Amino acid sequence: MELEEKLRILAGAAKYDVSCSSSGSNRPNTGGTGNAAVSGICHAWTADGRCVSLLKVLYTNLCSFDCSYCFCRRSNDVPRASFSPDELARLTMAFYRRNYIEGLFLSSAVAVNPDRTMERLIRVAEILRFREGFQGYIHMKAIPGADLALVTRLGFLVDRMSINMEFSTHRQLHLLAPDKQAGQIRGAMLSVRDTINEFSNLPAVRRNDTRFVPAGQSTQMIVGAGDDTDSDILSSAQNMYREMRMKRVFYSAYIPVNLPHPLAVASPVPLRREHRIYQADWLIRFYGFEAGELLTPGANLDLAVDPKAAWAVQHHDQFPVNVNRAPYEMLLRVPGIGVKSAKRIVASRRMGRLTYDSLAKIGVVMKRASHFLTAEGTRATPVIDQPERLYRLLTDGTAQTHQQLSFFDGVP
Amino acid sequence: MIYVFDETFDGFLTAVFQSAQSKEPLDSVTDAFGQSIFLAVTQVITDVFQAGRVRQFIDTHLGADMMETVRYAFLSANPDRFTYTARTLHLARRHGARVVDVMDDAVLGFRDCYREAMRETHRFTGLTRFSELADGTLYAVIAPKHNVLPPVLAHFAQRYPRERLAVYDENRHLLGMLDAGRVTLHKVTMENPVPTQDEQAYRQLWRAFFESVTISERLNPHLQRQHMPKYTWRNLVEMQQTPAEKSPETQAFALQESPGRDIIWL
Ligand code: SF4
Repeated sequence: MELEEKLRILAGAAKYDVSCSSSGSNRPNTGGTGNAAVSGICHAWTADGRCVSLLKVLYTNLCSFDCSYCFCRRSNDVPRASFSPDELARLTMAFYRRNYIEGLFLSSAVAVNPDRTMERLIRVAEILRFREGFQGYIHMKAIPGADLALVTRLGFLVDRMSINMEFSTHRQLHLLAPDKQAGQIRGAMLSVRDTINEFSNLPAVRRNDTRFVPAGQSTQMIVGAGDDTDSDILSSAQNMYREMRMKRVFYSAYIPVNLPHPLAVASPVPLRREHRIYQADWLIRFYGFEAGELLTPGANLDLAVDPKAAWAVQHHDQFPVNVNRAPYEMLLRVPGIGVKSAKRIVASRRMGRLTYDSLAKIGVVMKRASHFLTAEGTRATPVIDQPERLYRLLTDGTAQTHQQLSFFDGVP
Repeated sequence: MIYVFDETFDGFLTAVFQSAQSKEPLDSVTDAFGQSIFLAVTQVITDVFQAGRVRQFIDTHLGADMMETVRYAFLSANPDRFTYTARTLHLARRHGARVVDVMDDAVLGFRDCYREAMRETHRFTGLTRFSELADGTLYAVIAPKHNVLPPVLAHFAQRYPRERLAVYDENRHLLGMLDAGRVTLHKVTMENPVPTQDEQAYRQLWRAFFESVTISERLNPHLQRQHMPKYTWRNLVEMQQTPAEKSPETQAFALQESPGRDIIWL
């Protein structure tokens, strides 16, 4: 098979995978080719607006598993292809030297069995690191069910490793991915977490020549293929950040690629739901919110307003806040104030009292924020004690889409 | 008073120094003539000692971050970049490192200049495409709005230290080179080199990859253009149809012009 055809099949099969991120690793160049930048670099954007940063492909799409949500599953009759380790390493180098990519993101179907597949992935990484002297970014997915010794070996070669959890509940995983075992997935995550921990405690001198998953581990959940709610998803995500010390949790709105499966939801998931979950995830990681504050058990996020605005409307009695006095943590909870502008408010108010005008210059989105704060000088008509009106003012997108979408999701 | 300096960074710092010493109010700092003839003009002669005093002031009182901010603002294409930066540095004598939080139009303008140039630098670390010439040189053409070639080249010099690199800014006719660890800048006009057969094959593979990762159910060209503005497309392999490329000749990379001047970015 021609390389171009393989590339089309194996890139096409990997494209629904969501993580574009190449950030978080700091692998300085020590004489080979490449380095990994801490902030991450996007190299191109596809016509659907997503960032292309890594050569994201499957090693093979030949699978012995039969997950109901997956296009590559054993029972599907689709064109199959596999790279060879050498071929894939050369392609990665050729793309990297031309600055098409920031590195390699390799995942794979389970050809033959998990261990065999893991060995191939390790081979690709070894060729890149040792023969080609590649010091750029490598992200690989560990194959569920593979021997933990192989997982550890891979960890010494890559920058980031991820192990997909797929669903927030064991029941869903069992129903929709019958060949995967929740216990094994959890075991691999724990093992990676503990080894990362061990190596980050090494003295700095030794840390430089032995790196174990320096950009940390991440995982992914499919949104809407099963019946787990946003509250299930966000509380397990919070757990992934806290217990597993995950760097990122990625969410992927389910796109039905197979014939209707009796257990799988047949309709596509609105992208907006995925978007809201990402916003909530962000609030948990950087804004000091708890999953339980954003959602009651069993609930889904409101599709019409973003989760921070939804929280603020519900807690309108805690507003307005005075930007010249409020603590940083409370500033962060004001819709329209981001982490950067909250920090600038704290820095700037030491130099003098902040007015409405100066807030806009600092980067506060006054259209939203003005309802929730007071500053020096005159203030717009307060609507803070009229939650319905406040809600309408913060709705993004039309009411019609809201109804359509919430109908899909059964949001009350 | 208007201060006119040669195009160099030291020339600019000299202007900052002299305008700070002067009793007359500062109208603007510029590297070009043609301002109002009714205002007084001082022709600044670059003085490394005076420039050094300003460097020292920034390093000791404002910190290394501020030096970087000033360097980036200097590269911005904003017509008022020099004036904003000079005024900010003057204000910094009173406020120290906290000058960046002062609510002043010059400071806000200075921050904008920095941000634009820094963002575009970051953008071009991703949106630069190299071609391998027959002699192994990696060659790229960029058309940035701001004068970001020096920091962009610095990024690639770190990334590909073993390669021979050439990055050409076709808007400013500037060529930056990395050769045997030395980074130089040349004022020249370059012709686009003809790609070799290997090069064409890799471009084709890249286009194939790019096409196959697009999710056609979710097209969002607006978002695409927001991140990858049209002015960058001309030099992006993936944004061009397979061109009817001329017959590949073997072409080596030779630079007959001046030896160039060494550049150091941070
Ligand atoms: S293991 Fe499941 S999800 Fe992975 S490729 Fe095979 S069928 Fe698809």
